[in-house]
Amino acid sequence: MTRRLTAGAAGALVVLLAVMALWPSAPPAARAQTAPDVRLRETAAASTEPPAGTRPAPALVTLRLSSARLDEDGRALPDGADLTLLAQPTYVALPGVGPNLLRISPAITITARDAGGRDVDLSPAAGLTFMQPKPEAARVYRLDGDAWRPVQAATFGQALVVVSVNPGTYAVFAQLPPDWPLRNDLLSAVALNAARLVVDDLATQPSLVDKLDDCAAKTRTRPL
Amino acid sequence: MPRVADRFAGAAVGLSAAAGVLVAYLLTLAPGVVWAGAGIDSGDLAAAVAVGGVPHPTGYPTVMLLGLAVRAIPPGDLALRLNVLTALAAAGSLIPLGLLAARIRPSTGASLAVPEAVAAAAVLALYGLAPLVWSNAIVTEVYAFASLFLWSALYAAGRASAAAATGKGGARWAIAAGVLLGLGTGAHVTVMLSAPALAVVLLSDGLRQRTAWRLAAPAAAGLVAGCTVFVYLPIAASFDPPINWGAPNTLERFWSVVSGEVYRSRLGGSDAGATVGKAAWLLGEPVRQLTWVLLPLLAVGGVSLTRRHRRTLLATGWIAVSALGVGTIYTSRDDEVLILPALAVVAVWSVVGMDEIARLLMAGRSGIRRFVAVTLPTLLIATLVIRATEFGPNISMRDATHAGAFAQAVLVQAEPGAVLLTEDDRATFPLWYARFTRGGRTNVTILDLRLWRFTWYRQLLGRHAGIPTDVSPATLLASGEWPAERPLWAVDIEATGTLSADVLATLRPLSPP
Repeated sequence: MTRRLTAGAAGALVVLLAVMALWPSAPPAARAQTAPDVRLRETAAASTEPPAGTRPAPALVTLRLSSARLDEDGRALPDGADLTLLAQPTYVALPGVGPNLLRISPAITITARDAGGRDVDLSPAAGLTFMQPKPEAARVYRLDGDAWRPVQAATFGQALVVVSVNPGTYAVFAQLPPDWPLRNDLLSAVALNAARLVVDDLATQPSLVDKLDDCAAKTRTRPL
Repeated sequence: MPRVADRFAGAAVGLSAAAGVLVAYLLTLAPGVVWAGAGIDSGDLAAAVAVGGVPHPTGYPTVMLLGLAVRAIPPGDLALRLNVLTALAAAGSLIPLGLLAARIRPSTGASLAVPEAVAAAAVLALYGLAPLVWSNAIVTEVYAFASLFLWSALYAAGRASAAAATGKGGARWAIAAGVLLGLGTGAHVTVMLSAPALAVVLLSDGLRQRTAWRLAAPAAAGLVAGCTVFVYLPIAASFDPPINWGAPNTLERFWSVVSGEVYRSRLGGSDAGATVGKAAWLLGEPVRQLTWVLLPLLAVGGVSLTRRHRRTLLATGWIAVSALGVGTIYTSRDDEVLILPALAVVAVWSVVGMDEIARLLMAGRSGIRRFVAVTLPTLLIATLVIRATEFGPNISMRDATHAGAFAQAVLVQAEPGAVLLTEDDRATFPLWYARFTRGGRTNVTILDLRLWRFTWYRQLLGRHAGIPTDVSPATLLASGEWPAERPLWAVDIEATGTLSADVLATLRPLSPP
């Protein structure tokens, strides 16, 4: 009798584990982190957004392209649409060598917005990214298909070729030396320069010239 | 057929399994602190070791003390050394499991055929290479240490009980069991839930004979001695280290830290339906983690233990059920890892089941015996190899350099005097580690907004960073009172996918009006 009970219990255990192993879905992953999620809701510090009354950092540079037309993945922007390029100092995580490797570096990320304030995706891969190369030891990359490839002989001040990988896709990435200081004044200059380079590039792309009209001439810069 | 002597059977099985999985662990070891799933806390733990501080609750004093010993070994990055230590502990935990399984196998006293020993080692290695175990063995975490001490304690309790039953005392083993249980609790407090299991193994004979105190007293003394590792927390806190969660140098704050007060709200927080769903999912984890192959062995092992080692059955059953229970009612990012003891129990029962099958076959025809003797180890090793090659590439953290690269890039280039505002473990912990281990950049402060509401954290920042702590930084920034020489930068971490490589880190300056 005991043996039967034991065997029955063992069988029940096995069946239970087997059935539960077929349970259709895992519970949703909890988001709770190690540091207790008790943020500063009583003050503006609940968010790292600039608090009310502050303005964005001077490093943010806006450059408007009036009446520009860009063909984004086959989607043409309407005639006369304003396009705003926002240059933002940032650290970017970029795909590197290997499936689980990326490079994290300081950079200027440029995003585009249309007149309605909606983001325009310039690059399906990594947006539009530019980094200011330092004269010495700077390594410059550009997005070529899915891979970042080094650009030879890029120097500071040079009109860096921002390659159009696909229509509407522009990307340049420069790996900075680690001691490059990240300061607001430098970032302003870098961002402005980057935005100008983008415009120059837009103007010199033969495939897009007819769509750009004279956007470079109409371009104005407006540091905030 | 070559055989392993009974007295060496457990050690041979455990050591060979440990050696095998250790190779896999070292091949997939994280090079430093990481962002990836199981290892997000590695930055906090490594930073705490680096400064002799107190990591997040419950403080993990055993791991801290072992880490401090490793810190004294000069070569290599500290995080890498701690990862190696974790891998050694995880692999080492298979040794007491092997010893325990050998003591309760049906053919105890008889030598072990080599194919059977190989099969037993393969079962333990299947546990060691279960994704949940493996991923927690290759980066600094506490669960491998908890497992090592828990199963060592249970083995010692078994030795004590056996010695007492034969009139040889067993007090030393009982002391060892208590000490190991205390050390395990210092590695993770849930190990204390296994105390009833040890009591069953140690005391059930004595209760009948009214001699339980002969083992209970030394075990209790050992437990008290083992738990003295918790003294580390107030001592470390009294030195005011820069990583000092909860500042546990008062009785109230000490209890708050060791009892995990800040995490109590995560106990039983979800609704009944979700809890049942989670329990069902966790019940299926042994099969998903250890494969269907072990199910028949598990069943036979359970039956065998019912007949021969009911106390061990009860003790290990309690450990498994309590682990599943805690895993069910506790909700956190990595709560699934709490069921690791249940997986170990399945592995031990399966080893016992395999021995039972081998014993039964001894009575059968030699042809069948030979066939099974070859087939079973081959099947288990093939399963092991298939699973290792299937899961290994995804579990591997060899290339997980992102967190370290991120932290180094931020710190090297941060403005002098900068205060980096964080609100994500993936930002805070690697930055802590880089800030406090590499030296330099002492003028950069990392401020985790989530911890700001805690008095101990504000006081710590005030003492170490000299920044205002009576009003939040954002409030001072908005009113223009934030010191200009301490520029604020917001560090944002955004996950766009499941891999570390999908994490996007950004750094934004916050400027006064």
